[in-house]
Amino acid sequence: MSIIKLWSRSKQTDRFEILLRPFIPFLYKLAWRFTRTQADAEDLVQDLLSKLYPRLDELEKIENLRAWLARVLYRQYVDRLRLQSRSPVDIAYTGMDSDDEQEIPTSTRPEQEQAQLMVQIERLLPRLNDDQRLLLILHDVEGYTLTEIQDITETPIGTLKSRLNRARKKLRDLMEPFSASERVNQVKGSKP
Amino acid sequence: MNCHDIHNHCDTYLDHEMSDTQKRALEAHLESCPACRHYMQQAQDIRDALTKLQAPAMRPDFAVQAFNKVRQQNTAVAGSKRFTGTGLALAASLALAGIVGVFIYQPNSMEPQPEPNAIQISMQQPKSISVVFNAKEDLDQVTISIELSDNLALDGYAGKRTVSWNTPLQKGKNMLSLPIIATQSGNGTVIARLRLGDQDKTFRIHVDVRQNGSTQIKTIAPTTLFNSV
Repeated sequence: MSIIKLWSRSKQTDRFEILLRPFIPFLYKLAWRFTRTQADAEDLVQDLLSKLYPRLDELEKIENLRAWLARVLYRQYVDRLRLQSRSPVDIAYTGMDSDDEQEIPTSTRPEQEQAQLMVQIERLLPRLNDDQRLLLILHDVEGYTLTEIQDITETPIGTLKSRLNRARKKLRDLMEPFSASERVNQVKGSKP
Repeated sequence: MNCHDIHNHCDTYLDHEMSDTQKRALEAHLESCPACRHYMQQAQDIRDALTKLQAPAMRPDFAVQAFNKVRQQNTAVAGSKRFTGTGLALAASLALAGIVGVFIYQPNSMEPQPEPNAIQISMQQPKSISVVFNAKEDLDQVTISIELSDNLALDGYAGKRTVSWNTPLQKGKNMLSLPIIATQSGNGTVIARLRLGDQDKTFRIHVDVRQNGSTQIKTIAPTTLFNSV
């Protein structure tokens, strides 16, 4: 009996891989959005797979597996954040090193302006609180609808809406100094 | 509508969720206020930039590694449950540092086979070869590896040449069943390797796969390597 179990288990790992393999790039991307480092993103996805393996039979019955996986990954990440916040050792993501001022190109070409803007956003996103940051990532970056995010985060849609507006406003407020310096640079650049 | 209102309601405007009256009032203010026009444009630019943020590509081998890790974790769990000492009466023992013996059991023979030389199995049909580890005492953890030559495969582990896991062994006989499939003709080998601390025991099974559809396992040559602790 124990021998049969061995090989049925190996088949189970095959079924597990066949089912979830197509979602790994998606999960990794989302995990990277949350964690912002390759190591943490891989760790998050690996943990997720390990936890899901015993639930293979349940997974095979889920209709919208992609959305379900996004929800589980989100919860797992939020649990990690909570654990970190309770830890005596404070580990916080600070985004790109804000002490290393990046040289901001002063060109006004639209593509370069957008590239500058993206660099600034990447730098400033971690300064939003976790709820705001995750919501902005899910909605404005990844394109989930508020209804989908309601399912993922189990948060009422009204709360999400106001939180999203606060997150966007906070980001704009944080952008203001950069925007001002950019304008100064542009003015300087326009001098003969 | 004033500048403060614009800052507070610009997302409602950009989301097209304003009433016509509010929208007209807001646009009227924008007409007359360059700062708010800039603010609104910046809000739109930020939204556009957010949609274009790139995540770095996943390492190409990450998925493979991740599933391998899951497989290893669960093989180890399965292994620990599997070796329950089923008590099959098989074979004579070959001691590993006087602690563990390894035997092979052929599916077509009810007799113990310390050095059997002919197991007939058909091509592309899994047949079990049972390897028995006879432990003289309970062992918390040994590492078992199964290595296959290119023309053989383990059912359920397609494409994997090596399967390895940690497991405890109970005192007495612990049986491992290996469903072998021959995929190509020619000489092949199955190596069962058991590691206990610094000691290795290698059990080598030579397999002759015949093109006419039958496979003959013709020689079993146990090799024991003792590495001093």
